[in-house]
Amino acid sequence: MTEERRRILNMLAAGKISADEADALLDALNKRQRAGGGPAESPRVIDKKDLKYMRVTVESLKGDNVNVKVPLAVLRAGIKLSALVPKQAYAQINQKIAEQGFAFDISSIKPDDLEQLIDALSELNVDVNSAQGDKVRVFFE
Amino acid sequence: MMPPMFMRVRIAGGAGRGFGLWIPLFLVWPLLVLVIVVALPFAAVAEAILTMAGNRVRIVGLLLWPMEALTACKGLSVDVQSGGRNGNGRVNVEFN
Repeated sequence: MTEERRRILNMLAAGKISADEADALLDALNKRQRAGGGPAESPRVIDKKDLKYMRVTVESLKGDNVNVKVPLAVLRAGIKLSALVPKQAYAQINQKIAEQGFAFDISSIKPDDLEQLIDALSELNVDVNSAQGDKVRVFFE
Repeated sequence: MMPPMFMRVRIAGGAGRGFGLWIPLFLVWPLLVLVIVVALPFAAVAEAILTMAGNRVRIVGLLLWPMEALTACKGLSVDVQSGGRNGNGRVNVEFN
């Protein structure tokens, strides 16, 4: 078992990443190994304190490109807004969310959860290449 | 953390047409702070009254939140390009 695989599995065991995220990381690792014929490079490891932006890039062969850089502070501010919502409104909001097909309780969002999520996301790097040649990347820097 | 000082919007159409907007947010912040400072006592009183009535609503927090959210926007950048690499149909918004 390579060191990279061990690290991903340790993060999954510690609950720092979800099963889907671990699967995406292992897939990326396997692709690099097949392409390079050897152990993959280490996943990008960034000190969590240095994480400032979430980047989403989309490149398509048709020339439709999207490049979004969102400061993590915006995500934190969004979480804080949910904490400011009056408790009386939670039921209505949850109902509206459920009508869209999502079973989600807005009162379960807490600022501590966001910090844990950001900690786990420090090593997340999503790379999607479609058959049409479109590329989607989501990463944190 | 300093709020963004400028907002830049660039819209490029086909054949080199397009325009850009440069919005000096540093002129907006003092006005926003003034509005918040004026509204703060009223918000505090309203929150106290609602709390005593058993219906707590964080009015003060909601009043201060826009400033925090706008401050967090520093560095936000959205760049959307369509129609090919010659720049047809491009929208770029940045907070600096």
